[in-house]
Amino acid sequence: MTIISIRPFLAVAVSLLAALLILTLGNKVKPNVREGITLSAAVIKAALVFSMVPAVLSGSEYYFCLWEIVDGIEFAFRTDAAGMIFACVASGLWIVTSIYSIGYMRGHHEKNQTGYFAAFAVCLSSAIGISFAANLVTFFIFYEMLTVATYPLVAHYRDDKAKASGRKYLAYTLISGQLFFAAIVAVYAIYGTCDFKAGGFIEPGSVSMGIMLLLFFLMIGGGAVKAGVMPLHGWLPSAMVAPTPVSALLHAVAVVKAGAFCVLRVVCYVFGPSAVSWCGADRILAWFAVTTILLSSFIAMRKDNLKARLAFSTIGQLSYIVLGISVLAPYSIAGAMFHIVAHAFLKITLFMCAGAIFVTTHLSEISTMGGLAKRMPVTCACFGLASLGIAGLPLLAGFVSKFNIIRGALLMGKPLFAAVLVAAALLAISYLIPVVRIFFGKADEAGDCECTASGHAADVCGGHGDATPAMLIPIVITAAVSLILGIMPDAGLHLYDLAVMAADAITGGGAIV
Amino acid sequence: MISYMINHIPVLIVIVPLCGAVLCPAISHFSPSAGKRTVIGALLAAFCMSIIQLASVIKAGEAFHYWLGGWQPPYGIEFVIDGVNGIIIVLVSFIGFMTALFSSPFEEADKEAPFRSAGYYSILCFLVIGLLGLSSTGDAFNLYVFMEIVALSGYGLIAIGEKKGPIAAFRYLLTGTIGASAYLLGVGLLYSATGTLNMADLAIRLREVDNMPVIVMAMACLIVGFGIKMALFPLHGWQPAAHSYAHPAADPMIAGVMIKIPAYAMFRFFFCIFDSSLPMMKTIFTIIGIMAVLGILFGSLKALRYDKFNKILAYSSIGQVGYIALGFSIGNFYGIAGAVLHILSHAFMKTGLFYTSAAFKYRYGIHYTDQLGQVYRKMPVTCGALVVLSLSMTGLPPFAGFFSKWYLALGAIQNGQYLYVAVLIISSLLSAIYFFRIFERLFMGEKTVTEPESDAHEGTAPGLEVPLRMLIPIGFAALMVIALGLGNSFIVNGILKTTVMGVL
Repeated sequence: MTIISIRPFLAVAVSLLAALLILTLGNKVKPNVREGITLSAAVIKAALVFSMVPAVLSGSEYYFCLWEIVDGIEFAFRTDAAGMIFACVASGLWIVTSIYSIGYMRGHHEKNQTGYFAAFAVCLSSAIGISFAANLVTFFIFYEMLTVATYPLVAHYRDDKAKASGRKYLAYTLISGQLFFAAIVAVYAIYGTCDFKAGGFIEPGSVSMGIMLLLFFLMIGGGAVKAGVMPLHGWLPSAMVAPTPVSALLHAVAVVKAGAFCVLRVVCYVFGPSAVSWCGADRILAWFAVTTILLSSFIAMRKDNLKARLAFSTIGQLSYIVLGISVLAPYSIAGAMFHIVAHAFLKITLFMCAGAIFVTTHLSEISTMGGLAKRMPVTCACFGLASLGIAGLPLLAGFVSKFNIIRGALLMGKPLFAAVLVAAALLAISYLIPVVRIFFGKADEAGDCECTASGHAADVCGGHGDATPAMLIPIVITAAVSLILGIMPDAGLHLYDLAVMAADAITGGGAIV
Repeated sequence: MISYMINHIPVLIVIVPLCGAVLCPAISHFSPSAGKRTVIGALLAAFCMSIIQLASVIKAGEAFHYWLGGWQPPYGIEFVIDGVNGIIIVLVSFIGFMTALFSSPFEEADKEAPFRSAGYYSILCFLVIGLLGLSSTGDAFNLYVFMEIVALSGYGLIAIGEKKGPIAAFRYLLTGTIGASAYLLGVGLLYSATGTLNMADLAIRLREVDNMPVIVMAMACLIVGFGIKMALFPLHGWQPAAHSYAHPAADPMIAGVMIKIPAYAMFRFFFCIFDSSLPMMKTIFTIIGIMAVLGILFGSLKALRYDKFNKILAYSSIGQVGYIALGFSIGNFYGIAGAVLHILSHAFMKTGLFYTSAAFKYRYGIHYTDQLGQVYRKMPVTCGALVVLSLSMTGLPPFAGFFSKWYLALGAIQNGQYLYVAVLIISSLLSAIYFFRIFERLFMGEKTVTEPESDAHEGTAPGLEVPLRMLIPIGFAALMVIALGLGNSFIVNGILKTTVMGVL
């Protein structure tokens, strides 16, 4: 059943409005008022999104059409199960990230906070727009908005390094975006529609195999760049120069997940499993994902900078989602969608921990963090919990999704992919658990020297206490949610049910052979 | 009386500003500000009338013919208003009015007084009149007359600009005259073959002409004529200098609108007059397409090389005019819709960007982008508009530039012209490079701008970055780019579909 309601649009518009308010008032009002706007927009947005969950769970869809955006295509929003998952994650985590941002930006005395919070709000608006977009054109509009709004966040520090990362980010995303654009135009010209449809609207054999492959990869390129599938991942590690909440946003909530979601939309809602497997694109995509998973784990092991290690871990984890989608089995698609949720909570916990450590102690290299747990027990405990979750240990959120992806791969008769996923889990243990061990180990000499040398001896090594509450509370919340989702995947918003629903709709309830 | 006025609106739109332009010097003799207000008022009146005219054309659903002096065509001159030029007339009069408003702070700040003595408002108004007539007329020779009015007033506005203005004006004078002569020659050839100058009549009589060489020759002349006037590659030689050295207040009109209207006139000739189904038209369109493709690439690449803001914008215009020509060469509905939409959206984008450029000049005397360091702190609204306009130029959604690109690409793919799509994409990416470079300087430049000795700008109210009379046009340009983007289907479906489909 379709419910005509303005709610999906309001959920998009509220943060856009907040961004406008922040930009116009930002420097004229007190920071507390400015952050009040951000937080209230975040809460309203989350409430709007969450309020739509029950109806979507019962099989209805909210639909809202503004007007024709181009001749023959509507500017329309539709809340299907898949979109609902991404929207819930993005809007829920925006609240958490906002609180954390306030703590971080103030704790770190950042400049240009007005522009920062405004760009953040636009990013979230785009993320919700991406998840609710009913057709490719609407989707693309928000996708490009996300690209542009993220740029000032990446280049936040405005020094040469930030500028270079910003340029790199734009080069990757704009080029892939333009190719995506060309593919959308071509698909519309050939098929006369752009509306997302579970199971896809492209018939196998409707164009020659070569052309379909070309269209598929032009389109998927847009998603793959943001999802950091190798070899298109180059922008992601360099975007690490941004403030940590931005990294959390980029790598957990908005940008990379939008990329993964784009892959989902293109594979399952535009081309559809049958057309994708007809032209063989699923196998090519799966191999790219497998390579990325393995390579990124090896690179992550060698990184000493905590954020860089997490960035490569993100690249690997995102390819789990891509792999899950390209296996094309109902279980693995559901698993991939649930991994959007699981990874979001886990990775945001890790990044917020990294940021809290940096603001509190000014440490960014892993080798200098020996014995940190004595000073920051809660932060380190949450970090440890989330690390185990990333590795896919049972009772944590990451397990549910990975288990489903593996189950799907095995049912589809692709044991090799299952093996890769298991191997990758072990690799994840090998690059994240050592960090935890260092935290809980003894303070080593090198670390102390580093502290003294950096001139913060008095307030760093001698300082006491964990991170400020504004940073600590979000960390604890996300860590707790990842634990709860691991034990009861269906708790709260029934995101696992939504994932299964979406996967059923896409595959028609059966495995595709 | 009212209905009488409404019947005469097509000509009043030209006549009222004409009266303003002629009266302005006389009134200025007694009171300069009253002279200025006459022009601004006349342009505002033209704008209001153009909206009424557009509304009634849309309501009627067919073209409106106005016979000057009651003389019937093919002997008399007629104005023909359909959906396409109806909306273009709204655009011209709106931007004309805005630019007149925008100019006045410059006039007040003008110490050396070439501005006042040259009868600036009068010339600007003549430029608008020329453009209005150019879009309205249904007579090939009358079009030439208006074209010359545009050119002559253009020479004046360019010459009173910066130090190199007179040279740029002279260069434009030489090239522009060649263009006008080429056009005249083309029309002459058509006249020799058909014996008529009325466009509708020409269209009918040309169907019976067998003398193909004459028609081909005429087409070549017309392409050269319009090509020069719209600065289509490789006939663009006059344009970069003219656009970068013209008077900053008039530059938005010159750069934003003056080169677009000949493009519209070209559309009229090649789709409304010539039979676009003729086999040789395919060759003609291919030639225009090649010029467009080369122009797009050349303009975008060339713009990368400059630091001077106006130069970047000028070269980017060569590329953007290429978009319009590309749409015509695609020649199906979506191609033409994209081209017309791009005439509108690029007019607002380029005008707006030149407004911002003039605002930087006015406030800080900045000409080069590398002097823009952190200027956004001082001029937030101007810079916000600059960002919107530039993103639209780059073709990013949800701004107007994206949607014209969408239609162009859709038209090209429907015709199987995949190369054109590739060119559109490359051009977008190239313009992303030069616009994001400007952003970097604007927001991240290390050297911050310094306040100039502030004696020249008493016009700025305290708390405002530039006078309100400049801020409003800047803001409107940005808003229009957003509105045109989001509302493009109203124009394409509501206005262009009936007219363009009728032509095809």
